[in-house]
Amino acid sequence: MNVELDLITACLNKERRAESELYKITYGYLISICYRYVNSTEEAKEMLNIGFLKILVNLDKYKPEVPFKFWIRRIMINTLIDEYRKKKAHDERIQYVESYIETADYSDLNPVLARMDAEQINGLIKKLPPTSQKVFNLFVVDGYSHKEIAGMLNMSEGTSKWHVNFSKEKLKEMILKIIPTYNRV
Amino acid sequence: MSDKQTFEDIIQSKLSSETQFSFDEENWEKAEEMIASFRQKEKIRKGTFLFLSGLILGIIIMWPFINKTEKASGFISQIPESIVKQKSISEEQKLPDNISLPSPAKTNNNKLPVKTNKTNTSNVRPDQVAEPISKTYSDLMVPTAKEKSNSTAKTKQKISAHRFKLPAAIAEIDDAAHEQTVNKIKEESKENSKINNYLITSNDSSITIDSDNALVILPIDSISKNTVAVIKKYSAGKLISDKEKANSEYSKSLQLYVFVGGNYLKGGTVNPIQGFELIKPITEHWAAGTGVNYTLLNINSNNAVKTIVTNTTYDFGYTSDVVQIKTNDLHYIVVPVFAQYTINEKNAVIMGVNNYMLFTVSNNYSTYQESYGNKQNVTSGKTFGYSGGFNPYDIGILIGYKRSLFHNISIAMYMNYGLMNVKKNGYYTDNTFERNVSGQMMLIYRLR
Repeated sequence: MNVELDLITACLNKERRAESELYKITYGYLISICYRYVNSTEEAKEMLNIGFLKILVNLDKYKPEVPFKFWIRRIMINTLIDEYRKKKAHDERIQYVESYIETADYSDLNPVLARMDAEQINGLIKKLPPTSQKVFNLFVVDGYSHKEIAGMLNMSEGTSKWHVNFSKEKLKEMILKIIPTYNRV
Repeated sequence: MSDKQTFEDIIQSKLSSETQFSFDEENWEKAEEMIASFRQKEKIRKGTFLFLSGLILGIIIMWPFINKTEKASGFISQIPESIVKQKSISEEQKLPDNISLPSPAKTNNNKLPVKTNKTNTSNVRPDQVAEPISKTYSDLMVPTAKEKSNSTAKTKQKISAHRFKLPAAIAEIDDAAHEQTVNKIKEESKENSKINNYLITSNDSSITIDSDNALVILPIDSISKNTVAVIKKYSAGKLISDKEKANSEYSKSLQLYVFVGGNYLKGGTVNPIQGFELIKPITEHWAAGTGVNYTLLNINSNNAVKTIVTNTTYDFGYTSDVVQIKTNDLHYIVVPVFAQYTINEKNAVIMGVNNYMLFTVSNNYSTYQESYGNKQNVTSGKTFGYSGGFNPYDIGILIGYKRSLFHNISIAMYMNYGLMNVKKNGYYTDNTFERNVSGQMMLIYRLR
């Protein structure tokens, strides 16, 4: 994905053609982020449009010294988290954990994991509870710290850690169930 | 690199790579519509903001003039209703163009030369032909307080005796008598030195008294006993009735009000509000006020639920001890401090701050143990006092409007905009309930 400064300037001038061009260039990258955080393709496309609007609205705040790709990723993830918080089911349990120390070992899963493709891994992550899914994506895939996640999702750092570990445990369970399939291959 | 890191690294490397998605033209059209709609709304928002800013600026600029008008109309409102039927001189009552104001006549006994059909027939309509009349200036003179008691009956008699129909004839006053009248008016109206110009209206005509320019124009046919009564009040420096004056003095004392009403929260709930207010008038228009009231913020949202889970893992499984606390109401004691500006007898606006002190919180709680989806030892109930996660203090900007309805009863509409987050931190999950933004409507009763 390569976005020229001229294109950004044209978007700042609200040129429709430039906006369309930027949408085309960033589409694949942004939709892949959306698709990790939501469960349906339609919802992912809706989120993409909301995020893209935010990108356009905030384009005047973009500083060229930051790679454009990172900047739009941050906006897109923030959008996804904001929308998730708005739509979050009211009765979803919110865990509060002061501190969490992880002791489990997942090394035995690595060979299987290495043989799975992104679509399959993503399919397993989508089976996680919504909050755990978000926390896992933010921490493992997008590289946010537990402190940042705690701020974004209004939870303690301990809770964030708990969600990551819970996700890993669940993933382990799911992978163990499908291991025979892989052994047959 | 440890095995544990490898697990995460593998997932990251597989998922962070850009997946190939084909461009969706239809979705771009939706995005375009969204962008256009957003920009349209933005234009409307900007336009509304500019309009409101202009309106507020205009009101601020025009305020001194509006205020001046209020003062003038305030006086007129004190004239008996029977004579305040028209507030301006009608076209018929204006001096006809072909009538010039004669020079002051030198007459004996202050006699007023009156234009009759003989002297100016061209200005008299047939239906206005009247009997010749002679009227002394002393008849029109404003009696002093001393003369008042003796002359009232006499004046009434004279006025009633001189009913006539004439065109708007001009009372020509000789210099000395004129000056004497004006001086008397000025002297006797010292108490009302701010008042320079009044338009006193009666059923059928108008009288303008302009003490600055020392000019008194009295259309003769306008004089009625009501008009004379008004002039008497003016000359005696009593532009307000004794009762009104008493009320005015009374209004300078400390005022105590009680009120009840509803507090409409941004979230859509209406909660009771009640308390009392103390108001101390400082000037004619300004007053300082404070008070104490009680109100509550009803949260009643599943988002304000704190769940504490303690997990214990055994060789044979796990159990979770769960405590859930759902916040229902935040109970506040509020101390408002405000300034009140009285626009006129009926209307006032206030502006100030509300100081909120959280004194208790009502909660529903439930506790249970959970193991593999099975709940046991479930307990639940209501409790007061658990205020964790909320700020003990809040402060809000207060603006409001009061209108007097009946004797001692007023209605008030206040807007409160909380400046602090109600929540202390991210303890609870609902980010939207952070400020106490509310509208209050109250009935106010004046105790003293």
